[in-house]
Amino acid sequence: MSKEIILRGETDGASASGTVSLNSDIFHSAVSYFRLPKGMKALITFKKVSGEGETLFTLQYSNDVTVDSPEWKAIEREKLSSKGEMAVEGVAIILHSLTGKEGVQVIYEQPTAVKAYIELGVELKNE
Amino acid sequence: MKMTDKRLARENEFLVVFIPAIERALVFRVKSVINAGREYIHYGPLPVSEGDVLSTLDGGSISVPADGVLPARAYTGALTFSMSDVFDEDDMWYIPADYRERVFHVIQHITPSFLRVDAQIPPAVTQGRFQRDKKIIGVEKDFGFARGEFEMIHFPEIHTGYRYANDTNVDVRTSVEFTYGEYIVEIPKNSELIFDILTKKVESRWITLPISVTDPTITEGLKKTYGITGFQLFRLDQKDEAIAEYAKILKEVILE
Repeated sequence: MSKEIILRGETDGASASGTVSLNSDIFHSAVSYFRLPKGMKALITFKKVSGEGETLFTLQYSNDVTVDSPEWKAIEREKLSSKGEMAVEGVAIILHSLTGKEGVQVIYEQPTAVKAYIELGVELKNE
Repeated sequence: MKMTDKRLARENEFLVVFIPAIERALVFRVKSVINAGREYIHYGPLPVSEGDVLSTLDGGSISVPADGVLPARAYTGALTFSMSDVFDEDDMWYIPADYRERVFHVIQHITPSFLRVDAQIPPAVTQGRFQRDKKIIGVEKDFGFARGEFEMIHFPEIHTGYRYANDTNVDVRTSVEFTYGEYIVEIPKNSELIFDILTKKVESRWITLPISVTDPTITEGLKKTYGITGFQLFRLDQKDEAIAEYAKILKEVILE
């Protein structure tokens, strides 16, 4: 039984901004956001970013992804200042799913469109 | 190497299996654990197949995109686990009454662990209830389910189905691992000992089954297997009444 999932996303290399498609070994197909199971909390335990150039990744959280235009709030940023990679361990971001409608997504911004990647370690726990 | 799940019984322990719907408990002594040291089965994906149509938590339906994948917001009907060369190849945990010396104690671990799970005993009979029969609960409702793990005792003659739900927006690849004990059991023939076990004066491994609804297949299955449906619980100050009652029940037991 796996309690941790690794969310992986990448930019498309053609657009200088956008929403990262999130994937994982247990996902059958990628999604633009991840809706949290009701009554659980997501604990983000590590972040790793890499890429061919400057990229700002922003983790966003919405209280309700079921509406036509969810309101996304930035909760965490990670900037890769140039080509390379960076890992941050011991991260403790906790996201609660109180209604079952909450979700997370990752957006990116780049001065020039390049390929860049993000990995998030996410542990899902009961509240 | 994995450690054996401490929830499994060991030899010479007492096992109490309480059934809330009939307010009775089966009391066993574990004579032997047939699979000691080999308690794990990595079964593989949930038995859903590409093209199966499942209901969704939002009131619609959705097609399974690939074998073993539980679609976003979908929930299954009662699933059983197939296995070749076993008594019932559609339900690996089912054994008939003449295997009455055995029970399976099964703890299933589901990946991903956020999936909801409940049991239908027998399949198609949802056991979750709230406020008597006022509200039926389970994986497709807001409560009445577990996530990622489920413990069950499989008695002979009784089929059990499991339902699973995925309340995220992601189609997920699934898998199930079982930790199980195949116990050789007897029912203690001493009514005073049964009283001491059920009043918790004697230590036992106590499991309450998620059975809120009495379906005839449950009571008939128990009668056919053991000759009885179990022992009532009594207060400590009802010892004489309890022992007399247990002595009567023990005469009906057909398990050696």
